This record gives sequence, C-alpha cells and structure tokens, in this order.
Amino acid sequence: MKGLKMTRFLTLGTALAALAAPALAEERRPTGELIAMNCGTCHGTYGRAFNDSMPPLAGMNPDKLVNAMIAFRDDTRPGTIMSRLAPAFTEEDYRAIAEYFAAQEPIPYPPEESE
Amino acid sequence: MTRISRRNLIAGALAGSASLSAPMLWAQGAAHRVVILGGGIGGATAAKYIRMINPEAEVTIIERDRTYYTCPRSNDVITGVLDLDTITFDLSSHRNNYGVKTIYDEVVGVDFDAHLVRTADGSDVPYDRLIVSPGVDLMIDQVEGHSHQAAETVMPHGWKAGPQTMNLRRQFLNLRPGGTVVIVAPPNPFRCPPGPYERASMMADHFRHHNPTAKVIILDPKNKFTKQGPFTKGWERLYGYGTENALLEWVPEEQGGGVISVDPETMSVETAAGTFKGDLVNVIPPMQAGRLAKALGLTNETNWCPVDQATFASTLAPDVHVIGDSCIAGAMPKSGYAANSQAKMLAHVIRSELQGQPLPVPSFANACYSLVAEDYGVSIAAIYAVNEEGKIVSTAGGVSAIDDKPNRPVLEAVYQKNWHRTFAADVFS
Repeated sequence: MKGLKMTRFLTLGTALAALAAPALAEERRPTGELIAMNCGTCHGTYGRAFNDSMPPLAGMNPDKLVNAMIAFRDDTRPGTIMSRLAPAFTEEDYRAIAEYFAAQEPIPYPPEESE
Repeated sequence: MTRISRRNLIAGALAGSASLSAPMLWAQGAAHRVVILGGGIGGATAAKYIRMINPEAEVTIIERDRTYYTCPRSNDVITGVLDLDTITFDLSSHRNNYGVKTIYDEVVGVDFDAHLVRTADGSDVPYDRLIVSPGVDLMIDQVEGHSHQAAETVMPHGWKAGPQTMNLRRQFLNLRPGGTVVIVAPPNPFRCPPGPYERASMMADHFRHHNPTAKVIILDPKNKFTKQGPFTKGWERLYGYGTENALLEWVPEEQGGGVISVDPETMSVETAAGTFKGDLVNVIPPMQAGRLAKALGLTNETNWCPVDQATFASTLAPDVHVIGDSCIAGAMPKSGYAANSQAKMLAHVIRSELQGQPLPVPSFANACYSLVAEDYGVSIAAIYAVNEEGKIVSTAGGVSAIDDKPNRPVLEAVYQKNWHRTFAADVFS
C-alpha cells in the first residue's frame, strides 16, 4: 500500500519537475553502498553480523535479497521494522543494495566470533 | 573553553593556509587530515567509516574519556538486568583495526582560520576537516531548585551512561517496598525520545516481580511522546495502566505534569497537579548541544548546531561538520542510530570532497527498539532523505502495529537485544 502511494508521489514529482525544468536530468538516487551501510547498523558492518534476529547479508544471493525487499514492501513477509522501511526505496535501490552485499565476504558458519 | 584567537597559536608552517569563507582545499599530495572531537557513537562511527571507505585519510579522535558507556540499554543496567560491562566500550579497535589515532585530552579551543585544535596539554592538532560530535549538555540550572550537587547525588539524571547509571541503579534496587519513583521527563528536543518511557516501563516490570506495591510516576512537560500508542497498549496489558492500582502513571502537561520546581531536601517535585514525593527522584533536565559545541560558537539561538543537512557542514564555521545529538537534523531524532547514520553519510561526503567527486545523494535511517518489559518490545523506524528545501524528511517509516498477535512484542524484544549487539559492534568493533 505504502509502496503504491510512494510510486504515485514520485510520478507526480517527476511530472512537476518536468514542467518546471524540462532539461532536468533523471533523479539521482543514493548509492547502494550508502544505503547498505545504514542496513549494517542492524545487520553488521559489511552485513557480517550473526545473531538470533537479523540475518547476515554479506554474500547473499542478490535475487534473494531483492525478492525479500519486495515482499517486505508489499507486506507479505513477516518481520518487525523491515515492512516499514522497504517502501522508501525503488526496486533499482534494492538491486543496488543487493549487489553491495553480494560482493562482501560471507561470514563463516559457525561464526568464529560474534561481530 | 573558548574560541582561541589566532595570535595565541604558534604560527608555523600552517600560517597562511587559512581561508575564512571558501572551503579549504585539501593539501596537494599530503595526507588528508580529519580530526574528530568526541569518541561517542557519532564520532566513533565517523572515524571507522572514513577509514573503511577512504583509507588515505588520516583520522584522529580527540576524546576526554577512555571508556564509553552506551545510553542504549543503560535502562537495563539501572533495573539490574544487565551489568555496566555490557554497555562499556572503548576505541581500541579503532586503533588496532582501522588505524585511527586517539588523543585522550580535553579540547581547549579551535582556531578555525589556522585549522588547529588545541588540547589541554598545549598541543595543536592540525586538520583539513573537523568533525564535532559532542552529544548533549544537560541544563541542570534550568530546573528550579535543582543543583549539580543534587544531580550527582540524590536526584540523578541517568542521561549520560556511566556513574550516573550506577547511582540510579543503587537507589532503584534499594527502593523500599511500596516506594515511589518519580521521573521528571524533559521538554523537546532531547536525546533518546523513548528513553524516559522505556525507563519507567522497565521499572514497572521490576516491580511486577519484586515490589508489587511500588509505583513509578512520569511527570511530563509534554502531551505526547514517541511510540505512545504501542507503549500505552503495553502498559495497559502489563501494568494496569489507567486503573487504580497501576504500577505506572504518566502525568502529561495538560494534567499538570510540567515541573515547576524540585526540592532535593524533601525529595519532592512541585507541579501544577500538586506536590509529588519520591523515594527516588530521577530528574532528566532540558538539553542543549554539547558544551564543546557551544564553547566553539557552533550553536545558534536554539542552543543546537545549525548545519547543511545534506553534508552536516556547520553554517557557522568553515570546514567543520557537526553530527549526532548536537546538530539540527530536520526530522531525524536525537538517537544513537541517527548519529551512526549521519556519520556514515559524512564519511561519504568527505570521500567525495577528497576525490573531487559530486556530493553523494543523502540517505539516512533510524531504528529504535524499546522494551516495555524484558520480553515485550516496541519499535519505531524510518528512512530519511533531503528535500528540495535542504531539510531532512522521512520518506517511509512507522511504529509497531498494535494488534492481537502475541508474538509481535516478544519478537521485538528479541530484536532489541540483538540490535544493541550489532549496533555497538558497528560503532566500536
């Protein structure tokens, strides 16, 4: 629901921007690296935390992560805060975040030490 | 502690390198020097992430204290659930793993023209970019009848973790059977918006098991607070909130909860709703930007630090950035998560400047789990962007849903505990 609203808002915003400044370039988005580092506060630096709640994201298959974000956005996947955060981002953002984490070295199992 | 004048400083190799208004250019070929004042959550995160994404930068933290106690989970220490060790951290990993230099000393002044920080031992530390992250200052003098002496003894604040936390813990765990705790909540804006309400909750949780005729009363100069819906639902479910025998009471401003004065002699608090006597009185004073920020002239008439919200560049001094609780950051709360997120953004800003790249598009996050009881959590979370007016605004977010799913608060309590571990590691490991 929230995702839908957001999409409409963006469309309107883009239309208005086009009206005001036709030459305006496509909206610049935050990089996957920056967004992913904010994920790291709960999921660990580089996505390498191992605990009872938040899954480590380092080395995750990017499609899996993108699909999880879509499911959170659509409120079809249970969780705590993720369904409230996912609507802030576009599917291209999800992909960029997923590529950042896919490139990180996965945490060994069992973890050598908790991070 | 004042803005030191240039002529008081030794004019050496750095003389002539200053520029008042235009940002100072990074010295060609030389190491890029970032100096950070304050090794708390904002400063420590900034140091680590600048070195992670920008290893050619030379990073120095100047910090007064050798240990840091996180405010997150300090309420658990007060109620005896955790020991102080669990929330104690230091900067050794910054030195050993990230090559950050640490100087343990007081800052006595900064020469913004010469780009020098002077410390109490007389050293001058040069910088190209200065990051100021001094947290909050508690305005004890603003509370009628209160004093610094009373705040260190009978009416502690427990709003900077460490000895204050242990003072509150001693008093709390020795509360007489049937005793009363009075919490004086601060006005907006303040560090850790859910903190007073989580603290009262955890005290009520302790009473439920150990002191069932005791009570905690929150006296509030406000009529609403963060996560109010999920908090009050939890209070109703667990503590008989709103009934005669409630373990927890909240007196908002409209019911006379605003405090007129306190009296440490009689352990009483005067409000429009009458006099409240407490066996334990926890006065959380109004707050302003950390003293260092104020002494350096980085605050405006609001007593907080104005910054460009896309870069955290101070609007009052060149080549200085202010992050964390001290800065004015639009819709973001004064939380540890927010400080951590601002620090990461700033690491990207500094890298862009260093490499002559366009400034990054900002993105910030905040997530905060609070305990209503040891096994009952509530949360708030949001993502932020910077709008066309240059203000930080929330683009998505919300608080815990209030519903009949019994697993939701249990799950959020589990997340709260794990969050603190990963959060502290992201800052300090």
